[in-house]
Amino acid sequence: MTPQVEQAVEELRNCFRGSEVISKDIGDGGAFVTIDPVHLCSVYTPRETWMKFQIGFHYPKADIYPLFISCDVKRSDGQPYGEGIVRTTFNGEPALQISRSSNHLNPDIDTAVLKVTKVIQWLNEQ
Amino acid sequence: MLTSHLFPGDEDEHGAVVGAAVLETSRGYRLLGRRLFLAEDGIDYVPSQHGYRMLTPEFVLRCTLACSEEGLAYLAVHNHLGDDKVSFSDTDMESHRKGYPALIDILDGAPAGALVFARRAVAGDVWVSADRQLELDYAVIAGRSQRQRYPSPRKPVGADAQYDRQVRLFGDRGQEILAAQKVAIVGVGGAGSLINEHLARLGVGHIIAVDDDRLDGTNSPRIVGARVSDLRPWYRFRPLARLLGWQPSPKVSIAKRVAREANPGTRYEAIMGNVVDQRVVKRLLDCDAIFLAADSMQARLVVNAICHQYLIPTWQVGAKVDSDPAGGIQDVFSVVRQLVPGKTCLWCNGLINSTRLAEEAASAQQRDAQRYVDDVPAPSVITLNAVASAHAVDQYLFSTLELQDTPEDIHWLKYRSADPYQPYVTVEVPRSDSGCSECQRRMGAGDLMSLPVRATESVLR
Repeated sequence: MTPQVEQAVEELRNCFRGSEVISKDIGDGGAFVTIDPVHLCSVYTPRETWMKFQIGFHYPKADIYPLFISCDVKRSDGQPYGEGIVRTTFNGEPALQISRSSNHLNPDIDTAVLKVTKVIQWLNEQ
Repeated sequence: MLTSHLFPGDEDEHGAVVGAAVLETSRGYRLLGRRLFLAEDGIDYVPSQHGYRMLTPEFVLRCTLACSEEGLAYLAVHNHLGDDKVSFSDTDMESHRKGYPALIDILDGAPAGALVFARRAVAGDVWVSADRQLELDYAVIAGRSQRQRYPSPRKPVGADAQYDRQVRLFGDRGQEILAAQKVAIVGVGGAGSLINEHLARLGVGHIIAVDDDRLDGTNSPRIVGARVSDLRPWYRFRPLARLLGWQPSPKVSIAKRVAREANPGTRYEAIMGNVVDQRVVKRLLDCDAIFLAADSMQARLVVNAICHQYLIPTWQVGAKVDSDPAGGIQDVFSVVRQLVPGKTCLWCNGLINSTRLAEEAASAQQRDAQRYVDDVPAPSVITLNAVASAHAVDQYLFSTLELQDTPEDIHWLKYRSADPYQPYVTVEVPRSDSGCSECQRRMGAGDLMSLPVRATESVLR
């Protein structure tokens, strides 16, 4: 992992202290990361899921995009997921893809922690 | 900034120090100017007992320690009043012999030396160790024009008769400069294959082509020199072709063949690889110019970094057709962007998309899985590529051969041809952010910083 990717993983561990943050070295400088569990609001059932994503070797220049959660997660009101959420696979495992890109990314500010936090917040506002 | 400090119009001598990153290449040492310390007249640059003026010991020590801290070579600078010839005085050389071996110790082994400038000339005396002294061959002052400066004017060798018509524009000396150039083309698809032929026919002495792709039926009409046989028509019998290892020709092999046919004297390196890989990047670091004609954001990030970090002028070229969802044409343009070290930058101008960088880092299989809208190939036409490539090589020629004494402002040009009967050019003034992590922090750092390359090599098809 590049030093920047290692630092991002460390910052995620510090931010999500009640969860397990696992990183897997891809070998090219980047990492696959799993945060388990991530807490969602009552809009979803179940309210806990894992979140997985790749931190590319060009991080922090590269966005963290997309992110994935378990496809067990459904809307509590039975409605479809809505724009930006689709069923797919992540590394061969069935998952829901959350497509939220960061426009005008500033590598000094837009850290992995901020990205994950924003995506969880966005999910809870749907 | 150094030129205006040395030649403010007072016909006097002035001094400075340049901190330079050192790069040892197959073409010799390259010293990349990274830090500039201007000596204030009367305070840091004072009358000398032995010569006319000198840098004060305090200034020399301050600059030496600053260079040492960053791992830079120390180059003391002053000017003489000549025009196109310059050399050190005996007093200068004596002071180098006495001073520089000791400075090398303070610099932890980094070179110490001196440069002396006249208006259009520069000479250098660089000590790479306590007992090894090298003479500067030439200096390049980076800008819109790449101003090559020598200790004295070079006498041109008569150019080969085949270049007679272009020598009438460049002169024999211009042709000689082209023959000594080492130029890389990153991406030899539609636009890059045209640039490749232009450079070979102009007489560029050393060309490096980088591309990890092979010819296929959809790009062969746009690639200069591609033949039907390059597609390996028998490849359609795929099981047999796989068994026998038959594949269409790599694009770099076609580019090499075109260049060799155009100019058998060109030294050619065809690299089938990705510019994001360390082993590929290493071969580009002593180039005189780079053409970036690849589509990926990763290639943009890496080549933009090389330009600023290794002070290599770069031209990014492309062509685009914007269409609306119904398929109607909204805009058609070809674009040329000159990247000048420390001045114009793809990152500052929002031309490296962070989301696409993330997508390109994913495996091909994962990219397919996460693509929920089918990718429709973008329109691409050889004539649009021809507009961009010809203008880019024109800019390279005029810049390298100093054919025009124009202001140093850099403009990026878009050649719009939605209506070919009324083509027009739009001029963009590129922005430059003072704290930019690419064009400012990397500027002249050479090997002192790592490039944004991947740790592992690509798997090639």
